[in-house]
Amino acid sequence: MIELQHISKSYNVGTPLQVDALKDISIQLKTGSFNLVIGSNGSGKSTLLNILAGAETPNSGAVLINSKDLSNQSVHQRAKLVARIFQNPVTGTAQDLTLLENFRLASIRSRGKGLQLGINQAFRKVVSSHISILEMGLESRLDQKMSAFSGGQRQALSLLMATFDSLELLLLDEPTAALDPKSANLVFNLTQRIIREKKLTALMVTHDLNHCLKPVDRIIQMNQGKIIRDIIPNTSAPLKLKDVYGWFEEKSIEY
Amino acid sequence: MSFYLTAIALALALTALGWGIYLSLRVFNIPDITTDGSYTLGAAITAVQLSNGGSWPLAIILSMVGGFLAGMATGLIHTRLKVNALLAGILVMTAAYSVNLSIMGKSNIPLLQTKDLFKSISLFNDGLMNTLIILLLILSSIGVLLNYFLKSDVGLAMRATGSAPEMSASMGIPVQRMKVIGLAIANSLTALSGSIVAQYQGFADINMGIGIVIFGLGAVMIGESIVSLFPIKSIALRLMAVVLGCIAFRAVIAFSLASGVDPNWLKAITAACVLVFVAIPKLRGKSFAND
Repeated sequence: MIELQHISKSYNVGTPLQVDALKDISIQLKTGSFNLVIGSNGSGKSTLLNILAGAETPNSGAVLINSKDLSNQSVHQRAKLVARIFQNPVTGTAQDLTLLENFRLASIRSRGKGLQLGINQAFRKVVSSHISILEMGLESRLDQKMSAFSGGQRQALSLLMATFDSLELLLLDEPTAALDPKSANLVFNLTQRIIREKKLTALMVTHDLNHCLKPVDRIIQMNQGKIIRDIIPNTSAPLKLKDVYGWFEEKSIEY
Repeated sequence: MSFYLTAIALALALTALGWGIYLSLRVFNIPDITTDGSYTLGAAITAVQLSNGGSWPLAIILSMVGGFLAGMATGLIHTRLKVNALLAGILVMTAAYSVNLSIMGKSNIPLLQTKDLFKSISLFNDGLMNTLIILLLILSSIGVLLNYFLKSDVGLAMRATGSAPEMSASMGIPVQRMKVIGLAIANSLTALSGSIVAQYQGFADINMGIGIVIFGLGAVMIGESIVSLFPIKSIALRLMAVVLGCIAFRAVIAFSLASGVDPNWLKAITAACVLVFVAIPKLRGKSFAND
């Protein structure tokens, strides 16, 4: 169980430029659930994700994973439990390192990094078979630098990397936003498949409203730092895209 | 011939510094000006140790510790106080000048009478040959260690932090600490060079480090243009390339001296040499764009 308790976050506190990005947000995410967060720009959804990741510190409130309070842990400390996919595939992979080296780092995300050499024949085989599920033919390119791969390939790889080691929470920050439609589709389907196969608890921030029509467990809509809609999609009466667009047309929504 | 062998010996003595710059410049993308200070620091500590009757291994170790601390200082100023890395380096370099002067007690310490590294180990009768072999032995052992380190998990983590800080943090790497450790290692290598050069040339001088960072940057860049000729770019090859870069650079300087260039112009030649190597890839790219 992932818990956010009374999280508030403001920028430029006490100045005329004060922005309240999150206003007393409390959420519980069930273990093994795929949660979608939507909202217009400035609604606070990215701040929410950053606070879960540890990249931003809330002004008040607590973040708990399996009842353990992580509020005071930095990004690299939380990496024991939390993995993250970035919007920009360039950010999410180390481009000067080879594919294999990137996966080595991914394989020890939750552990300390020591002086041992981690890349051997056995490890090559594991990575090779692991990335074969992408069916992109990358198995023969293990020793190429990450910069040699396309955005779609890098995003797919970063998804495999994030879920290579054990994790309690997968954060996805608009993972398909920087990709062409075909790659975006591929990456979303892959995301969904991995989340279901590994029974991961995941929170995805997205601008692509088509994602709301996919089989997700929960949709949270944010506006002006508050949760204004929190629904469990009904499988017997599937959502339509125009319903979802309608959510953004309501009078109360400000941009 | 021995003129060029001497140039090679000096280049080998400076290779550890080249590797230090490779770390700070290519791993962290920081042209680390602390180098000027930590190089002299290594020489100063060594000179004081040796002239007080200390042994050369202890002198080298203490020099490296000194360089490590100087690099740590730059790293901490940069990461904890959020000071621009260039400025952090300049600050530490400036402060190191006073530290070096107070360690040495005077601006120049001759070491001709002391029992240094090159006088203590005698593998060949020929003095220059002996020097070259000792330098090669030291370099290959440092090179093997550095190559291993950069391929190990912590080395991978360090290399990732430079190009992908956010991803590195999300992979559980303490990015700030990595930078501090990396800069400390880089400067301890630089101080090692300072120590070896002082023993090689037989003196330590307070001004010997001025502009040495430019030599290191140049050597790394020359090395990279050599690497670009190979399809496979392993860490070992990159480290080798820095050695070749150092030798090529010293050869250019030796050649200028041999062809009768006024020694006062050496620093200008050094700077021009680096400028050429920085500019070549850019100019080449431009001409492609125009085609």
